[in-house]
Amino acid sequence: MTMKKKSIGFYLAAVTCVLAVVTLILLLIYGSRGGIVQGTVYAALAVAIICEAAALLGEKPWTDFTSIIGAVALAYVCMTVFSDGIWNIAEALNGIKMVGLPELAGMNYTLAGVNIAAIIMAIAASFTKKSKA
Amino acid sequence: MKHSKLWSGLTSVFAVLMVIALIGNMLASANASYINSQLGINTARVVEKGTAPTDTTYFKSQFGAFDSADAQAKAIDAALEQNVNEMREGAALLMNRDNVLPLTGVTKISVFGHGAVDPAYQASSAGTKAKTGSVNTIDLKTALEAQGFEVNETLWNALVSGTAARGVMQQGWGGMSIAVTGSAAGSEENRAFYEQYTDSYTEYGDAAIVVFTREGAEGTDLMMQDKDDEGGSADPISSLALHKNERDLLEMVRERFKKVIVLLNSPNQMEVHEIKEYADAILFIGYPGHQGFTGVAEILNGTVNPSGKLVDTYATSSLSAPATVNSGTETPKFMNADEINSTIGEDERAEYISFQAENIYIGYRYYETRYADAVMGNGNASSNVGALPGAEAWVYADEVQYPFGYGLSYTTFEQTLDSVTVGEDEITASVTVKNTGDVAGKSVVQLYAQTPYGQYEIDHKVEKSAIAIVGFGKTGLLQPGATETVTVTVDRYLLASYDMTANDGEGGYILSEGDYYLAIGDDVHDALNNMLAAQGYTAANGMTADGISAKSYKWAEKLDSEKYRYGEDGVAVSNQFEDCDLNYWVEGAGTYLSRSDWAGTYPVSKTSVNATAEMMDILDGEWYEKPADAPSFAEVAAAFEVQSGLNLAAMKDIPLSDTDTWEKFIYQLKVEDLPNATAESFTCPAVGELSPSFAVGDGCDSVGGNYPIPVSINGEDVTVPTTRYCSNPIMTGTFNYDIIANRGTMMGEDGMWSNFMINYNVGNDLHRTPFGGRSFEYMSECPTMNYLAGAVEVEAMEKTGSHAAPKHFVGNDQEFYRDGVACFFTEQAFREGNLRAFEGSVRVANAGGIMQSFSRIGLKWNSSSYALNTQVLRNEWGWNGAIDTDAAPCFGEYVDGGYRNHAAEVLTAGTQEWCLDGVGGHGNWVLNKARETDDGNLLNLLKEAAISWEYAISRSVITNGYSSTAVIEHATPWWSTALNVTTICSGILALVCLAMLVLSKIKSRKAK
Repeated sequence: MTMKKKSIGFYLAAVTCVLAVVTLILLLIYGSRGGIVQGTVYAALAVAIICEAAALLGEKPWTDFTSIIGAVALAYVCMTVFSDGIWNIAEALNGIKMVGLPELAGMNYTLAGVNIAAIIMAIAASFTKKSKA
Repeated sequence: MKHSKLWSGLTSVFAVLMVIALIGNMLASANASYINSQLGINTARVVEKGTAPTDTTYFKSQFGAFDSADAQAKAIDAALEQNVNEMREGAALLMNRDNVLPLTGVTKISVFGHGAVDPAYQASSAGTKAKTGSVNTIDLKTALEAQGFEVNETLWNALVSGTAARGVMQQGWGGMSIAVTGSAAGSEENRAFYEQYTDSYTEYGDAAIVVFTREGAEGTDLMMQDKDDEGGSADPISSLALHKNERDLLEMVRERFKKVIVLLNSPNQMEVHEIKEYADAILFIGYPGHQGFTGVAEILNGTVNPSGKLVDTYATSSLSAPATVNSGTETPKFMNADEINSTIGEDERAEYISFQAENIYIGYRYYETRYADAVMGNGNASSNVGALPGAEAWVYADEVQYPFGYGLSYTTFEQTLDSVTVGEDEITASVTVKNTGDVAGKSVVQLYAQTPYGQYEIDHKVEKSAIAIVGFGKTGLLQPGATETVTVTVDRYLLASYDMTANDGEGGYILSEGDYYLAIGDDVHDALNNMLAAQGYTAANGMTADGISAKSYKWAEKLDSEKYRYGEDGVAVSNQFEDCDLNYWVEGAGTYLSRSDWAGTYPVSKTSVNATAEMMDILDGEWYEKPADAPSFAEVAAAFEVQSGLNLAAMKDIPLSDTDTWEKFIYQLKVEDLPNATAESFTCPAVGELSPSFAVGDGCDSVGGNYPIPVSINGEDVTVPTTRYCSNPIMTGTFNYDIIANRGTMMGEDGMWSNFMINYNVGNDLHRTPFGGRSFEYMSECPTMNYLAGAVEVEAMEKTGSHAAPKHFVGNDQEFYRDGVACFFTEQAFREGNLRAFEGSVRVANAGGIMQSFSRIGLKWNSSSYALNTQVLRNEWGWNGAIDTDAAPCFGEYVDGGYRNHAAEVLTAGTQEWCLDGVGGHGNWVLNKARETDDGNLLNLLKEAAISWEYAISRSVITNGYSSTAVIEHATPWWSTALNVTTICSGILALVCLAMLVLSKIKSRKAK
């Protein structure tokens, strides 16, 4: 797709794609430090990256659907990681170490921030065309 | 925008919203108990269905009705008064050179130390958090000014805006920072900071008050190998040693002030030998809670004469205790920890091992016993093994700064041991105390015992502390010249030792044969000197001072292994923990400290082993097998759902021994209701129609509740939290049964006003080392001290309507690596140490429940030890309270396997509730397993758990307002309804938008 044909949706999807990849890298670090990351989270993230990457091909008949799937997958990733890390946050706020990993709370905040940004971008992308007619 | 894009976007919005609401709902449901407790939501309520009942307030506050603002105000005032009284009588004056205290005539003072403006009112753990400026909190400056002191404002304000800070939990985004709570590095301003304000010191130069603080936390011990401040030692130092900035500060104030008073805002024993060089007076104040500083200020100006005593040994080196080798921040891993992880999984938390080489020799039981042996020339006690670095010999006077029981007064007392009566079960000592000084004061009578250590004990490996406290009492306020006679009664059981070889190898408690001594003394060391004097020893034998034999009493006993052979219900006390000795698994793997050879057995290096395959199998935690004679699920289940007309009010007077009635009560449930009876959390769920949901309290110095009626403060309605009392070593240090009992009473009142069924609030664990992150919550280093104090506190609390539950049962003597750490010990050390520390609270005072610990005893998690929970608690001790795990949430969904998730084993061991599992995840898993495997045994165990839980509820404030014709109605919390509605609506809208998207696509295609 030439530069002239790219629309706002293309750039939004591209940013979403980058944020999803950043999320993946963060999750790999988070998991390696003991954070809970379920296998389904990686799968959902892979789906999200593929769906958003597909939008970079320009406006296709299935683009609207992949955008929705991408946004939903990102929401799943965000909520599941947050949910599994809730004790990290709760213990960090209370200054104790009990059943979570409070030292990872900062990373939970970062992941949530990046993820929310990705979801907003993905939703915005699904409202917009990926290429000009 | 094209229509398809609109529908695509809207579908995304609603689908994302649906996912968020759906998973959020699951998360919220898993943590419903916490949300409900924070929002004050009760999901079940008691509704009266009969005629107007008579008075159903079965458990009343001593201050009046629970809906009376006046009664509430009285309860709050009484709690805060208790808080201050604890400090008045628990703060221990360690040094008072030239009677620098009290500060009579002194008005203008300078207060130094970051800890002055940022004191630890408590450390991070459960319970109300007091902090400067919070409701009912009195800071040090306010307290001092209220007692007439004028405080150097310039210095105070500078400290408030200073940069020093104690270690806080670091939260790097990548988790790359470590938790550094427990470090003292950087916790004090440097000398240059203080030198900026020297001009102000002249005007406020009557005295310098210096506050030093140490703070651990739940999950964090103080560091044995800490960093020093910038410019200080390059080598690691103990976090309890003075750090460079603190030393510089003391040097500076010594140069500029005639009077230097140091306040130790630390429940952990700081190394004070350097402080003594600079200070005129040292006052141990622990953590003050909400208003303890008032008591501190009153002691400083002489309004109150200090009478508190230390409940820990203050050693010269905090690292000289033998227990420091294999514990806390120095806990080793199994040598094959990687293999363990790969074999049984990291989630079993089985990497760490704590070999308790110290045997029975914790705290003074080490220092004083070694001293006695050094005097008597026994067991190579004077060897330099375990002595201070560079020492040629172990010398008590060099090793110990202040012994257990030490504390000065502004007056002097004379104590006379009038008489001792040795009875069949009890010993009674009568002591006359005379105030020989010139101001009024209170005196503590400390009674210690020594039992024989002879050839039998050496041959049978029965270790003996040379001295142990067995009783105490305290006078009232004695005017100068006045006398009072104090009677101290001792349970002879406290003289018994556990002998694994007794009764033909079955094991049991014995009374050794030989000479027994009782002695009074100003502290444990003084009492020991009195005993040694009675045995003919003098300073010429190396004693630190000549003792007074008249202050001791001697009698003889024959070897007796029968007297304490049987427990409460005639159950024989026998060896249960042989497999908790590391040598049971790996021969010769570890050496326990023995007074028969101090030099040869003092631990000089860490102990670890390669866990064998057999050991890993047990570490794996799965051992439950359906009994061959187990009834079928259907057989047991058939008894349920049979109405008997019994409700909670009807059960409140039914004894647990009436098994039939209790079963009839429980059989009204559906089996699906049973898991809720295993669910203990911030808010515990209702159990069918039998009992409502309710909250519980948690915290050893505060139950963490709120008073129900908002109070107007500065025009605002404010909810008043329950009081944060002084840290436990201050309370125990009062040596005053009345104050300790009133702590129990007031915490029970706090629990009742907060409508808590039970409170996990009596800290019976030991200060195994000076570094325990939760030493502030635990009573002392001495098992018998905890036994005596715990019994009194719990007995008083159980008289209210809110149960006491000691924690963390048992052996939670460290915070780092506490998750699953495998603790190995001798059965004697465990029974006479950890277990005895709880026995007063649990067996003697009949606590309503207990909370267990995260640690393992031997290879088994405490919660899944049948020996501990059934053999000892139920059988030997005859105790029937509620047994609860420490935190074992399900993270939303129970996953079989993993350290805390062996539910069948835990239930079979005798544990019946899971902490922070408000959804009953563990219980539901057990129920499902019982169904799947047709195991009526597991269903029966769930029924037993329900009886135990309902029994505790039926004896609590939760029954208030509940008549024999009342019923329970359930209610769904509003947030749950809101999330469900959001999920459904967003799901429908997402589908509608998706349909519109598809239609618009079809239309578009047709148009083309």
